[in-house]
Amino acid sequence: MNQVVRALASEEKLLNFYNIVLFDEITERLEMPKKIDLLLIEGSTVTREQEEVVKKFREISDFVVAMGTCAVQGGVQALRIGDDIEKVKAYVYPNPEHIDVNKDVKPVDNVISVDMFIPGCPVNHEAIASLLKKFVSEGLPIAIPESVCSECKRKGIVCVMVAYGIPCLGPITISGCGAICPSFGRGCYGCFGLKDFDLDNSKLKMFAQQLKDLGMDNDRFEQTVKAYSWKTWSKYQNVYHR
Amino acid sequence: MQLYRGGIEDIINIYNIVKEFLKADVYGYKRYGNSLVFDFIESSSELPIDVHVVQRPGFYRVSRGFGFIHSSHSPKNLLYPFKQELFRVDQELNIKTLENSLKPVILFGIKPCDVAAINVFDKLFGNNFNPYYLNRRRSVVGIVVEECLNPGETCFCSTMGTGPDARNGFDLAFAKVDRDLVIFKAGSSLGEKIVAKANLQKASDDDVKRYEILLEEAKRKTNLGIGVEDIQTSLEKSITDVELWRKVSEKCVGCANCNMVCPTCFCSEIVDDVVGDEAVRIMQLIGCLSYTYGLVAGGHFRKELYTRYRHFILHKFVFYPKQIDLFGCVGCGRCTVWCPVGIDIRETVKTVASRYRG
Ligand code: SF4
Ligand code: SF4
Ligand code: SF4
Ligand code: SF4
Repeated sequence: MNQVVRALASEEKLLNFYNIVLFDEITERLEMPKKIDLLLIEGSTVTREQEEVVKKFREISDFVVAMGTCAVQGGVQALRIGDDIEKVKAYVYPNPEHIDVNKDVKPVDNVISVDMFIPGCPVNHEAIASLLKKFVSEGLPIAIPESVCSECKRKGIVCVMVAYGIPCLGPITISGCGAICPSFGRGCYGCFGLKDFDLDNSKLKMFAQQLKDLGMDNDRFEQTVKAYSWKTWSKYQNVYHR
Repeated sequence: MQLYRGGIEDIINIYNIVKEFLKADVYGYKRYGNSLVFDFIESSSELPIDVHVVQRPGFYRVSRGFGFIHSSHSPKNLLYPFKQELFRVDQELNIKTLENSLKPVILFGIKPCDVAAINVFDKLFGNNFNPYYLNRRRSVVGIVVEECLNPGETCFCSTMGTGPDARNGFDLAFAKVDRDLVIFKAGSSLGEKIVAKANLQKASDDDVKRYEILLEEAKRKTNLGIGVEDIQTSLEKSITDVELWRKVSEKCVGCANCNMVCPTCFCSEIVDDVVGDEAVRIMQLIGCLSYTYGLVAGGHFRKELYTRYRHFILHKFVFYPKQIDLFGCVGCGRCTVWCPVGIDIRETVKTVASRYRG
């Protein structure tokens, strides 16, 4: 949400164009509006109640954006998928019986139709600003799906994987962050999500092996992609064997 | 061609001479953190003289020593930057073009393959009159080349006819034989003047011999053992061999690092941004290995990744010659070094040639 505030504050005039009707952190909670032009949804749905809320909002909204890795991919809460939900609850809460939560995790588009995705954990405020600006002039940003590597190169960053031997998920991760981690000499850990194009199980396996040679073991690799790329990963997972 | 002799200190001396004499900014390879980049060189202490680089497929390590080749960056980063603002349009539809020429520039210590890559750009953009390129290109007032007597493991410039010695398009070239012997040669009247200003002595027969022995060895090391015409014709025959192309690109993940580091890859996309009351049009490099490349309204020309890898190789060896009568590959090996999974262009062309030659 900080990134949305940052986007809204990025240009003086931007706020003149928008009437913010619901935004828990900065507006008082009002009644359910009758109609929404642009709806940004953050987070995945993990309870039945949330699914109902999301459906209601879809009905009154013209344009729905799934914003952030949780909304797009499922998010870190997807790590629990496959485990016994009662056990997971007990890890976290002293009185797990009060917790009503689904055992699976649904990215927003598993519940309603979504018009646009803005991945990222956190999202890139420039992407949000670009959407807000173009939406008022009745256009939309054009998504340019690539790997993080292209962003590294456009920033003039030396590749940490090739030059320093640091495991990096950038080659298989969708662009959009501006290569933040490699800019600081760290490997990308895939927070924008796996690319949902160009990859298949054999390529992922070979890539995981490459990372293993550089010191990232397969479990860590799988945990990471599960946490940030549940939707895409589950597509590959059926066919992914070690 | 007359050869001259000097030492390491003469390289530094010449750096200072050209900077003063031509009143220009010097650009070249320099140390940056634990790696090397191509950028503005502020002082001679940044020159990569005491640097050694080990480069293999997917591997690049810098240490102290004497064998520096090149980095993931190249003169392309200066002459044809990754991102360029083309123009701005205000609300009254006035168009403002950005002044993007540079101060006078000397390219210092670039490699013979880099010069060959600039020749490729000159033909591509000179013929099509790309003002953004030509403005920058015209600001280059001098080119000093370092020949490679100690080529990288991934280099194959000898096969491509672009190195390891300087052939044309340079003002001055030097080659480090050892710490006490550096061979210089002038490639233009400007180069002659620099040699005179630097007071270099003529090289002795013995000096020349030592240089030539190392050069022959370097040529042998950078030769793939297949002729370029063989590579070209076998590639043409292989186009419909889906199985082969899937096989050679099986590890490829479409990250486009190969395109980005290639000194002759030029493909770009246009993005529009809104800044205040102005619309800004930006050109940025994109690679044919990226999914976005070939994605058009209503479809995709090269949806499958192997078709994009195939296109990369074919463009370099088959299509560039049709476009500009030069190969698009200068044999620098960057695509191989900087591919994070180590896909080796030499292996690809050898595999194709062994299947389709003759
Ligand atoms: S640092 Fe990572 S994201 Fe950047 S180019 Fe290298 S592999 Fe790609
Ligand atoms: S294709 Fe590879 S070897 Fe050839 S010029 Fe480009 S980066 Fe260098
Ligand atoms: S190889 Fe690909 S990115 Fe490079 S110039 Fe050719 S089409 Fe463009
Ligand atoms: S750098 Fe390697 S993995 Fe990436 S697109 Fe090029 S060949 Fe494929």
